[in-house]
Amino acid sequence: MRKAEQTTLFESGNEMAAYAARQIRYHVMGYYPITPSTQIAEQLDVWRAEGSCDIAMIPAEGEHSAAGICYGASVGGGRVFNATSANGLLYALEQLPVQSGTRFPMVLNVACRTVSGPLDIKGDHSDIMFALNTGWIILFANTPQQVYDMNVTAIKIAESVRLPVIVAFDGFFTSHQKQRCQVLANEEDVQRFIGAYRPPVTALDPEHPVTIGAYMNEPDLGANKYQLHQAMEEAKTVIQTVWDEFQALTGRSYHAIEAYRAEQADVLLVLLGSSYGTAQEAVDQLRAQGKRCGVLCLHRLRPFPALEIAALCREAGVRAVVVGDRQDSYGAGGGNLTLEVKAALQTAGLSLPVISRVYGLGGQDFGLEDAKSLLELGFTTNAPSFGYLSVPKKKSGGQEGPYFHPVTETPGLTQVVSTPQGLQVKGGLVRETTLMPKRLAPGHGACPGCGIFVNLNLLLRGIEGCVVLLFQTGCGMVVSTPYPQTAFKVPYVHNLFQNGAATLSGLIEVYRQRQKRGELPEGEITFIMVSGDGGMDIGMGCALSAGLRGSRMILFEYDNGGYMNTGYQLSYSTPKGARSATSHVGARQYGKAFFHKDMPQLMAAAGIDYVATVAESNPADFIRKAAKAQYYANHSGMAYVKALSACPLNWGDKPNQERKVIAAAVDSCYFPLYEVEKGITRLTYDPEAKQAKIPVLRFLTKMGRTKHLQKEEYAKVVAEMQQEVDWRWQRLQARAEHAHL
Amino acid sequence: MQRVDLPIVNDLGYYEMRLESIGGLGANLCGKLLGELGAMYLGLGAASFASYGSEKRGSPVKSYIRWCRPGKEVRINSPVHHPHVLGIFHEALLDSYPVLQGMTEHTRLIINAPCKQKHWPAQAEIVDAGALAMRYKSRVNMVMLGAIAKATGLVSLESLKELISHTLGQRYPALLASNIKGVRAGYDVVDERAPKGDAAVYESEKPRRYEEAATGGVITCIGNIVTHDLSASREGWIPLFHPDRCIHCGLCDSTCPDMVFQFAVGEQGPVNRGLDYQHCKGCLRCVAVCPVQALTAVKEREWPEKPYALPNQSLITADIPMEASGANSWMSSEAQETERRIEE
Repeated sequence: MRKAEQTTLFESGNEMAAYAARQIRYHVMGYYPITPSTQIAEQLDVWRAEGSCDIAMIPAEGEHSAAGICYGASVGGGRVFNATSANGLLYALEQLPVQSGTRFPMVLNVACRTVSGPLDIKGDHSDIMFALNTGWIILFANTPQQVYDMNVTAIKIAESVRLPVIVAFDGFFTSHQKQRCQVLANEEDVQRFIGAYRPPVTALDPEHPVTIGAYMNEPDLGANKYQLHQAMEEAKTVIQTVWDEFQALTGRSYHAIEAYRAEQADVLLVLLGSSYGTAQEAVDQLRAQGKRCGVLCLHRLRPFPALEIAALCREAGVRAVVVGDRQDSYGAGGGNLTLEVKAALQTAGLSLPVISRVYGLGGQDFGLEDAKSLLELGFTTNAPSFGYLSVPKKKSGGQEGPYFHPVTETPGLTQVVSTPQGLQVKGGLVRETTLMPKRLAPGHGACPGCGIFVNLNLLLRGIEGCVVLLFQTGCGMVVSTPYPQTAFKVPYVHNLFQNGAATLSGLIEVYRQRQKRGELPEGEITFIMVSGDGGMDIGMGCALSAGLRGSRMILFEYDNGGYMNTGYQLSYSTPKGARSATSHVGARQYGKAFFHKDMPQLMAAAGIDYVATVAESNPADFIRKAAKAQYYANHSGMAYVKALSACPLNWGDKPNQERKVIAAAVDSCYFPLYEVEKGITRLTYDPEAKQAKIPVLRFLTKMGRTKHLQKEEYAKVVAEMQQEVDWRWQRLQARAEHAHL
Repeated sequence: MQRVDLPIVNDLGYYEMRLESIGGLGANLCGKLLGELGAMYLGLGAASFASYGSEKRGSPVKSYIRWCRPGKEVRINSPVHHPHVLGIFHEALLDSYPVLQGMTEHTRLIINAPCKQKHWPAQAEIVDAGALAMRYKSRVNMVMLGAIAKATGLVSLESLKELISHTLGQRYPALLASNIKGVRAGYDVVDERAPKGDAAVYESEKPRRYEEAATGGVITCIGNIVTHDLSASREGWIPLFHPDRCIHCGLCDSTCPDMVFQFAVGEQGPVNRGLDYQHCKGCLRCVAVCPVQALTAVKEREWPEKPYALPNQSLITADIPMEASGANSWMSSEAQETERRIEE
C-alpha cells in the first residue's frame, strides 16, 4: 500500500476521536454527555453546524438509552459511534453484552475516569475494567495520536470479526492534553482503508426478514458464547493485520504490547495508558544509574496479550515484574491488570515475583518520583506483593467546629390550613420569612449570581420544621459539598442523577418503618429531593415512578435549561433554537432542534397530588407554593415544584439581570406560573390579565444563548416557538377553566 | 517556519510554562496557542493542557505548556511545578491563592496588573493587559500571549502573527486585526531579557492528605463550608448598604445566592442589620432588586473598610479558620472560551 498524505494538527485526544469519526463518516452517534468524554460529541456538533459532518447525532436522555440508540442503529446496518466515561459506561453496561452477543460491530470511545461514589470526575481505570467481561474488544491509546489511529483501525477490526470495539484512553491526561498529531489528509484515504461496510445481517431488509435477539436456552447459549470466544481469538490476528495495513499507510506501527528499554531488563514495569510516558523518563534515569529496567504498556486489553507479555519477560530475562494498577479489584490482591499479568506468566510457566501497586486513583497525579518508586520496588527484596503506592497522610490540625446548630425548629412564619374551599396559606411573606433559619451555610462555590441557591432558599423559606435533603448530581450538589466541606446544616444525601427519587423513597419508607417499630421518635420530617433539569432527563422515569407510587416527598427541580455542570450541553429543557455545546449555531444548524420539555405537565399526568411552577420574580407566590408542597408531602403524596433557574455563565447574561430575565420568561408564558392541586389546574399569575404579556422573543433576546434568534433568518424558529408557547398557555387556560381537563 | 533552540530546560529536557487565571479571561485558549506555537511554528515538541475539574481550594483555571527539543516526545503529563514562565492573568490571585508556588530563580513572572505592588517578587514584570486589550479592542489573553511569548526570548513577532492568523483568524476573521494589535501590545511591553535583581523562590506546597477520613466520606461538621472566604470571586464591585434608605422589605435576601444579608428581629418586624462580605461574590443581584436604592454598587477598591459588614449571624463561634476560595464551577468544555454576555 502506498503511503498516504498526512497533515499535522495540534489537538487533544477527544478532538482526535472526533476527527476520526468525521472521516469514517459514521451514520449515527447516540450519546449522552459525561465528563471527560463530552468534547467528542461537542466537536462533532461544531462540524455538523458548519456543514462538514453529516453524522446523525442523537442526544439520549441517559447512557443506557444512548447505548440502545447505538444498538438499534447497528442492527440497521449502520456504522455506529459513541463515547462515554465512568458511570456512563456502567449505566450502559447491561447493553454491552447485547451488542457483542448478537454480534453487531460498533465503536465506543471511553475516556477513562473514576467510578462514583464518592463522585470524582478525574481519571483512573476503575470504569474500563468493568468492561473486561462484556465481549467487546478493548484497544488502549496513550496519546492523542494513538486515539486517532486506534479509532481509524477500530471500525475495520470491528467489522472484520463482527464484534464491537472500545477505544479507551485516559480521561484528562489524554482526552484533554493537546499534542501534535498526524492525521490522514484526505477522507478518501480513510474510506479506502476501512472499506465499504456490507452488513451481513440487517433489520431493514423486508425482502429478507430476519429475527434478531431470539430467546435462547442451553446449550445454544453456550454455543453462542463459544462463537464469541472464537471471534475474540480470531481478533488477535485480525487486529495485528489491520494495524500492519495502517502502518503501510501512515508509517505508525502498533502491537498488542509496547515496551521501552526492556532488553535485558531485570525489572519490568507494566502500566496502562498515559503513565507509560512518565515511566519512560523514570526508566532512563534508573538505567543511567546502572539499574537494568524497562517498562511495558498494553494497546490491546481484550483480547489480553498474555502470550506477548510472557514472551517478552522470557526474552528479556526479567527477574521481577511490577504492575501499576490505576484501580483495585478490592479483595483480590491487585487490580485487574495485575491479576491478568499473573495469570499470563503462570500460564507460560514463568515463575516470577509480581509486585502490585495501586496508584493514581481519582486523577491523583503520577509523577516521575512515583514511577521511579514503582521501578525500585522490583529491585527491593521483601517488598509486599500488594499495596497502594502512596498512603495518604493524616490531616494536620485538631477537631473542627462546630460552627452552627442544626436547624430543627423554625419560627412558624407560614401555615397551611385545610378548609372546605381547599388549602389556605397564611403568612409566607417575603419580609417576615427573612427570619427563617437558613438550612445552608454560606460559602458554597457556585458562580456569582447562580440561581440555584436563590431558588433553594426561597423554597426552604416556606417549609417549616425538620427537613432531609437529597440532591441528585448537578451543579447544586458539586458546589455545595466539596469534600471535606459541606454547606448543609440539615441531613443531606447525594445520589447519582438517575436515581434520586428512588433513593429518597427508600429513605422515607425506612423512616416510617423505624417510627412504627419505635426505633425513631414520632414527628414529621419533610423529605425534599433537589435536581437540575439534567437529572429530570436521565432520572425522569425514576421520578415519575416515585410519583405514581405516591411517595411522600417534595421533588424540587431547578431548571436552568442545560447540563451546566459538564459545560452546558443541551438538555431536553433547553429552549428550542438555543446555542449549547451540543447544539451549535452555524450555516446548517440554528441551535437546539426540538422544544423544551414540559415536565410539570408530565408530572401532572402521573396524577400526583401537587404540581407547581415557581419563579424568583414572584417570591411571595414561590413561598406559598412551597408551603403547600410541604403539606401534601407530609399528608398524602408527592409534590413536584419546578423553578426556572438562572445560569449567568451559560445563559450569557449578567448576574444582576437574572431576575428580569426570569420575569420575562414568566410574562411571555414561556414559563407560566400555575399549580395543579389534586388534578385541578389554577393559574397563579396571568400576564394577559395584567396586560404584561410579551412575545417570547423578548425573553429569548435577553440571553446570549438565544440572542441570535432575533435575526431574520431565524424568524421561522421563533414563530414555531411562539406557537408552541401559546398553545401550551391556551391549554393551561382551558384546564384552569374546566375542572375535568 | 522559525527554528529555535531552547536555551534552558529542566532535568528532563522540558521548557515549561504555567498560566494562572480565573475563568473568562481566556487563559485556557492562551495555553493552547502557546502549545500550538511550539509544535507548529517553532518546530518543537509541545503539549498543553488545562487543570479542569472542581478546584476546591485553588484558582478556577490553570494552564500548562511544555516545550522540548525537536524530535523529542513530550512524555510527562503532570502539572508544571517549576515553570520557566509564570503568567498571572489577574492580580487578585496573588493575594488569595498560592499561585507563585514553585517559582525558581529562572522563572519569568508576568503579571496582568495596572501597576506593580511593593510586596510582589522583584522579578515581576507588569503588563496592563486589561487596559491594552481595551485600547486595541482585543482580549486579555491576546495581550498576555504576546507578553509571555516575548518573555521566552524565543519567539519572533512574525511567528505570533502567523499563529494568530492561522488559528483565530480562521474562526473569527473580523477580529484578526485587533487581536494582532493586542498580541503586539503585549509583546512590546516585555523585555526579551529577564529583569535584573534578586529573584524570589517559592517552595511547592505539599498537597493536603488524609489518613483517618471518616468511613465512606461522610462529613460530620455541619456547614463547615462557611470557612470559605469568597471575596476573590468579586470582579471589583460590592453592594454598599445605606440603612437610612432601607425599608427592610427582604427582596435583597430573596435574590442573594450567598446568604449575605443578616436580618434579625426588630421592633416592627425583621430588619436588615448588615452584610456578610466574606461570602459575597459581588454579583449585585441585590442592587438590581432593591426598590429604594438602599443598596448601591460601588468599587471595592474605594471602600476598603466596608460599613455594616457583619458576619453570618447564625454562627455559634467566632473562631473560624477562614481560607480564600472562589467560585468553583467546573469547566470541562469550551463553553467558557466562547462565552458571550449580553451587556445591558
